[in-house]
Amino acid sequence: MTPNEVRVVVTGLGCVSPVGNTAPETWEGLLAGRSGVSRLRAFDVNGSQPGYAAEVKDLSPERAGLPRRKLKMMGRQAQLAFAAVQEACTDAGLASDAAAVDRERLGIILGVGMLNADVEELGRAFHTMQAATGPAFVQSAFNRAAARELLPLWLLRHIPNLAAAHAGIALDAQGPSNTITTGCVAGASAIGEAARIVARGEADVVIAGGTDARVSPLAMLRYRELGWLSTRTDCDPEDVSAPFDACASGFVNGEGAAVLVLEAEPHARRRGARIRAELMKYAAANDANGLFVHDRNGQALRTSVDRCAAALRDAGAPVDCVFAPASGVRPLDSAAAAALSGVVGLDGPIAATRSLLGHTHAASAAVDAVAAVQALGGRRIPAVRNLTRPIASLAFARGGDLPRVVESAIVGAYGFGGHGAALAFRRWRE
Amino acid sequence: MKRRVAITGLGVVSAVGIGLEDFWAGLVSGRSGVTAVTRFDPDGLPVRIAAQISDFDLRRYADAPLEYRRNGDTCRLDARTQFAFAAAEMAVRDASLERGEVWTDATLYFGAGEGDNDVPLLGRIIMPHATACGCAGGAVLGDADVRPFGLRDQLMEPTAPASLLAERYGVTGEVTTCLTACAAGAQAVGEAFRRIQAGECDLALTGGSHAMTAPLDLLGFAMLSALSQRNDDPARASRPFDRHRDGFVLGEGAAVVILEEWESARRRGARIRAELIGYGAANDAYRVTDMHPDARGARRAIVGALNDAGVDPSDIGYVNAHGTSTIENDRAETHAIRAAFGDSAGGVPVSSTKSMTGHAVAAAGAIELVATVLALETQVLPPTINLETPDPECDLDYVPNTARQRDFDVALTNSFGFGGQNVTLAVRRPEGWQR
Repeated sequence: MTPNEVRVVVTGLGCVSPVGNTAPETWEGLLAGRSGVSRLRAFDVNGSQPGYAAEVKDLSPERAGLPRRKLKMMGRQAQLAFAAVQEACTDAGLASDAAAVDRERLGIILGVGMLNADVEELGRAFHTMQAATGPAFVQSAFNRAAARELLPLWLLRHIPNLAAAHAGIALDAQGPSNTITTGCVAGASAIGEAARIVARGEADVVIAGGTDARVSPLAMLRYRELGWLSTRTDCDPEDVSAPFDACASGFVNGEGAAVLVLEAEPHARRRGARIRAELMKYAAANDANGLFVHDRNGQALRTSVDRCAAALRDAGAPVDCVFAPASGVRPLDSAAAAALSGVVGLDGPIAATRSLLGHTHAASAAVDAVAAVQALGGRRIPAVRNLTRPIASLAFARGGDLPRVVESAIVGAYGFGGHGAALAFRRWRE
Repeated sequence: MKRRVAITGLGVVSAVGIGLEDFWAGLVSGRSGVTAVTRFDPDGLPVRIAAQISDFDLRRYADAPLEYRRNGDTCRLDARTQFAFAAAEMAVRDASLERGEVWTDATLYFGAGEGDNDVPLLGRIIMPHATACGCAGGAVLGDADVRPFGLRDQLMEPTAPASLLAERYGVTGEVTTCLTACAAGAQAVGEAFRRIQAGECDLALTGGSHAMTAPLDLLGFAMLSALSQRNDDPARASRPFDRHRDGFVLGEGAAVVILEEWESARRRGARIRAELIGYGAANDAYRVTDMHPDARGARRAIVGALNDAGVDPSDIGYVNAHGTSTIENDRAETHAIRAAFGDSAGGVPVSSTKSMTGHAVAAAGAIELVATVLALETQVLPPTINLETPDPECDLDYVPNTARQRDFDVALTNSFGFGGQNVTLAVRRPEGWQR
């Protein structure tokens, strides 16, 4: 965003998370230190570990505005995104007023995760195959069995950009649309893409954020085998997720969706929208170290956060807090701690909401963005739960009232593939 | 003032040909890349044809790793990632660039699909627990050892090719992956173009790669009634705009495009193959699989690219169509071109190279941009092959069956995707670079 471009403001929030099915519920849950981690409900792990996850609970299709006849062909991440987008549009006053925005200048950009195959469906196919040709895998027999057992619309639930498509159709959003797949950073990347489009004047309003639903058997199997998923059983499930703690044993798998309504400031002003915050800066970088190896100093995260902090300082704003992308995977937490150790001007706490939300992957940075915007103007930042032996001497959020009102917040994102990104929000001022 | 953007490097991997020379020779001669599937046994699938790349040997194109090792596990990199390595290396060399410092602040923006599911490996995991009612979800978590499933599965992530390219070339700036179905490759190029225009960077490595030709891919699209079932005549299965078409043919491949800020490309004496001058993107917001009956998103993408480029429809000498060979796309696209071009529609040649390459999904838009730039450079239009009996509702000049010479300066390429994503790019011959 260059200085002569239009200011990008936040006029709506939507969030479906393990601690609440709306943005305000999520924020209240985070401030109350309520953990979203509990016994796994989506399927029975039958004694295997982990038997817990941070799931979205009791999301009612009707309440979320989900069309029943479409549910069949919507994957869970599309469903979660649909609910979050509906909430954000209502919050922004776009739902009630058809004329609030020119639909050709309304866009939607979501960061999404990779959906694994459904073991239940494939299980039927493999069983039918074995009934026909015996226990060994035979490709042609599998082909026949799968053609018989898989639902005709099976593929639609697995196409990543359909999360944005379903939500966009409901809104008649005919402007720019994109689907970003930068792993755990995707929610931040999507917000960055949207901010550029609004700043360049290519759309008046873009709904942007992330959605992910990896509480599935194959995703859990994957993360467990990679050594990233905690399987500890010596404590209550809600005590497992311990970002920045020396006893961290991996992340707790989570799910959720969160979006911001980003709007060109003159447009928001013209239609009398309530402006909740200004998005001051988006920055991103890559470690260029390959897929699994993070820079020891969290270089991509550090670069991104430093640029955001500099943008706040340049605007005369303080740097009041940072939402950190730590999830309880120790090498990553160490890299994040290193990256956040020297943020110039930071005078406030570092939060780690994954201690309560688990790791919501492609949604995680967007959930933090929704939290960060709600923090502005208040005096409270969610405390880091389960932090007893910090791995670094940083000012981690401990709860209680801050000495002054939060004017700004930085959201950091960092993950698989060396991606780093950060967002800087500031309390709205004319 | 927007900065100008030069295309200085191209690389392509397609079933029609690998490398610019082979690829272009194949397209101009009307060679189909569609064959019977041989990579796995397709017996039992309703569709047993695809434009697959046979005998691909990455080491012939790049000294890139063929496998990934982590904690004692080893996994072969999937086809999509290997194609990306090859196309990137070709494009970087084509631009007379090397790995290293020049890439530090570059943008890497890639349209990539997910890696393919390894069905036998999934079978190993699921079969022990499979019943007539399926497979109780958690049962698979009871098994101690299914390695290297975790690594294999993680390498399927859509961002894997881009992140590995970032490592290879040393891109420490922003690395982005988008996956907007069949529009992804073109959208990646369009967004990278904007970043150079806006001054965010001077150099970008962009494009797409995808290999959606595995058993579950063929089956999934076939069950949506999207694919041609002309199994006994593969080379004639992809027949855009022909009355007897019966769906698209899945393909695979990759294309990488090097974009540079115009003046910096000139300063280093780079050969400028074309100027990227326009990008239009619009959403149907209609249905997830069907195009809007008036092709409203497609029309606005085309008009958007024309306006962005500051050119009139009468300036356009060639349109590389999305042209999938489905009744719906071909008619909607024809309608969109008519609506966007008005009186000029009848005079503009429109061809679908998917008639030869098949549909490489997330890579398609990038592969077709390469075809469009080569058409500009050589002043030859690649044909739409298998166009024997035109659909009466498709009444444009589709360059049927034989390549054609034409003097022209500006071309468009369309990419429309599932979910209602529509992207059009516009390219122009560079001044000062003549044949």
